[in-house]
Amino acid sequence: MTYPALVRAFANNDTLPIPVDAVLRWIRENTPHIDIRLYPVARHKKAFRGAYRRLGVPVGMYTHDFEIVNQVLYGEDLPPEWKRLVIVKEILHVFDSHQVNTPDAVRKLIPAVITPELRTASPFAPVIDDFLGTYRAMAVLLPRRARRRLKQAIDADKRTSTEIADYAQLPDYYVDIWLDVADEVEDQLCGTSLVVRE
Amino acid sequence: MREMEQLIALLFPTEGPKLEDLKFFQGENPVKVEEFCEEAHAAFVQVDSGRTPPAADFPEQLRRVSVEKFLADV
Repeated sequence: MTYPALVRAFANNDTLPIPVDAVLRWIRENTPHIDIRLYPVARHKKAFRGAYRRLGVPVGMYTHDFEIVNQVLYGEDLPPEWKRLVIVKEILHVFDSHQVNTPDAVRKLIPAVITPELRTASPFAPVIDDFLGTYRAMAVLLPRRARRRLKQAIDADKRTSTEIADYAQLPDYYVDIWLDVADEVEDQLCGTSLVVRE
Repeated sequence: MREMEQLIALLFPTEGPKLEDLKFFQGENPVKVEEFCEEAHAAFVQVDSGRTPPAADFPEQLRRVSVEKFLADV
């Protein structure tokens, strides 16, 4: 199954926060990516919040078969709401259409990751997956049905985005943006239309 | 750039696991490429050395509440 199927599976959820394990369980049950390993890592310069590495591990000396291992690294010092977003963003890279799997691609990826925005006219394609990945994760962790109800409450001055971020256990910065742009970009992220009970 | 080549050597060993994909979530601090590579290298060493044991799950103590209840509790 694909990323749009994941978004659809959570779209009608109106009880928050969405547990990270619920997302991991869906991926294990609905994709070939069963082996998912989470690693809290020490950071000193806070150069990155998280990382995703997919490995093909040889299963024997005399075959060309590989087992797929998905590793998600996240800063052990991150606040809980950031750990949640980072883990889900990183594991959603199982759905990416552009892979970084050569030394030259790594040499291109890293300068692009540390650039704050997609500044060039034709950025390195896998960096687009990195940039959009956060919003792909927000579409799952703050799903459509709940999000629309919460946006109404903000528009009516009944709740603030900070209160909603605390409720959904997500970073305030991304909740604020996601509530503003989600209706316009969610279908584009999915490449399809979602059907949601209202 | 020594740090980049050190990271690449770790990511592409001559034998063993093959890298299929690599992505990052940008950090809080502005850094140079060398600093980024140094920290990424240190993180993957923690993983590959077994110093950081993997977990299959992310247990959380969440107080899950419906949106309606959250909005009613003003």
